[in-house]
Amino acid sequence: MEPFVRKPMLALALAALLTSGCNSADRDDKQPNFVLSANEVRLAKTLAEHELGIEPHAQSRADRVVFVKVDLLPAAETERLVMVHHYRYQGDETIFTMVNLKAAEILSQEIEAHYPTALAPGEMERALTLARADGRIQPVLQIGNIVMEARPIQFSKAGDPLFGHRVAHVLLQRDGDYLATPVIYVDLTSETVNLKN
Amino acid sequence: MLSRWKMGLLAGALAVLGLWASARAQQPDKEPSPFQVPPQPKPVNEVIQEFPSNDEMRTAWKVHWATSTGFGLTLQGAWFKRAPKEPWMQVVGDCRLSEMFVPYHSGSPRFWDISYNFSLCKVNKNEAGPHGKVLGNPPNVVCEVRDRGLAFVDTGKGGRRGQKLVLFATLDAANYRYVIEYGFQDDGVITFRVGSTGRNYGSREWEGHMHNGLWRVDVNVDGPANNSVLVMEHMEPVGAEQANAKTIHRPFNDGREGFEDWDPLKFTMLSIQNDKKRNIRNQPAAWDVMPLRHGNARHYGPDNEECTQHDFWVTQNRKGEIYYVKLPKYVAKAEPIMNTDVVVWVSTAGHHEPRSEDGEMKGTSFNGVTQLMWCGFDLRPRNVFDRSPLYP
Repeated sequence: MEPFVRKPMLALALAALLTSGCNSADRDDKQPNFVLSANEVRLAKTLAEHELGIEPHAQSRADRVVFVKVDLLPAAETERLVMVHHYRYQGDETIFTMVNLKAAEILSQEIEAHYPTALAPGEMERALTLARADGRIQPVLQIGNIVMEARPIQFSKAGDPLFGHRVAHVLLQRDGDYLATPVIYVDLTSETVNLKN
Repeated sequence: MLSRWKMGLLAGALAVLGLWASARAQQPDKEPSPFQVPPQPKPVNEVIQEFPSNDEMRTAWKVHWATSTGFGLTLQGAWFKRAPKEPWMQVVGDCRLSEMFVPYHSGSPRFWDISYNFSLCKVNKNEAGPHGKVLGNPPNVVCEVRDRGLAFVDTGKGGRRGQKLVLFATLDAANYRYVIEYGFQDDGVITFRVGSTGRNYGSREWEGHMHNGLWRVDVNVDGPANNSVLVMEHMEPVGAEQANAKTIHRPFNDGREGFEDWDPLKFTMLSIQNDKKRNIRNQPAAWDVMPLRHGNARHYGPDNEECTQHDFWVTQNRKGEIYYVKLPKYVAKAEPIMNTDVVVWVSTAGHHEPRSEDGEMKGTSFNGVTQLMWCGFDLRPRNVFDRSPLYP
């Protein structure tokens, strides 16, 4: 793997990030070691996205790469390892980047197609926004006391129109009970709402 | 607008300032005395429980737990003390419910409810019960000591009740809830359980489905080194010697990374042993994977399901390998799993065929809750003690 620091600007920004809170000596003693600080998440995300060559604010809809999450990995005390997860809409790909936060070092990067991947919070919100704006769902929402909840769902059969797409199932609850219908699948890849009654 | 060059200078200045502040903060006020050992603060996620809880100590567990979105409640390590004056012996390192795969009978949906990164539920007093201590911030883990019924009944000295330390937390998986529970018994057994409960899936309220609890267990018998994985099988031979049953102990998958399946006729068990740690009979200390199975799940969906097609997998303990879906890739190198640091992966599946007890349709909504269905396995000590534990 090539050295991750190719640009002096990035190196300096990372150095600032490292010294501002990712040093283990600076961790809050009251905070358990299994909690990733906001600085650690930021550092992991920055390193992974630099390795991927992502320009977060300059992506077309088809080329979108979304930051999903960071998992803390089991490791020796000399290391602080995390796995950063990104999702690339093109190709329905999940990108795993393993980072040693103590050394600000990328250890590996792997890509898996059609992998079961969480939705990022922004994607969940987008799914709910699209569902709310759909005229066909309005009559249900007007019943009142409806709570909407988005959860990931994958369509794994190759012939399915939603195969390889980023999909959220929007569940509807009324007074704590789930409604059997309508079944709302929000296709975030095409930004369309699929409805079954 | 600042130019890129000025931005670079600013970041550099911030970095130097940060380094200086960091170094200054780490400077002690004065040199510590060489005769003083600074007290090591107990980790906030450490639980130590002596047994029995209401009498002189016989055995004890030290457990380091952790929580995260996605994996819910995990273990960072657990150590057992087989007698009051014995040192702590490590039994496991990182343990977690690595995946919860839920395929519906009609072929779709097929949910991977750990990968989907759900959060833990906050615990309330009802769930914690009268003896449960609530841990975590936010409060989402319950720790309690439970009576576990009879530990043994002896012809000479009568019976004894056992106890266990239990840690549990509940994953909030949209309509479903998964109770992840680890138990640490006074006799050295660790119990791994996942319970499925919650609301049946909207629009598929009456459709059968599976809950595959898929575990990653880093077994570290007396530490991570020198661990080997064996298969134990009970055999009933055929032919002239068919009355002579026997037990076979053999290296798992010929001593290489890979998979094996559970055979009900062979009572298949795994034994993870450390040859360097021996008891009074000179037997290697081991912990056995004791299956408690409803059945063997096999799933053949188009993607990612090869990992569900075997009951046990074993890998070396390598950095970053915590994802059950990737097991076929992890074992591809077929590296040795004898006298090394090993990870055991165990499939514990439950079949949920909905019933009226799960709830009822009221108009267009489903009302009611599925009662908990438990799946799991035990890790049981073998030749760790020199004699019967807790015996008078």
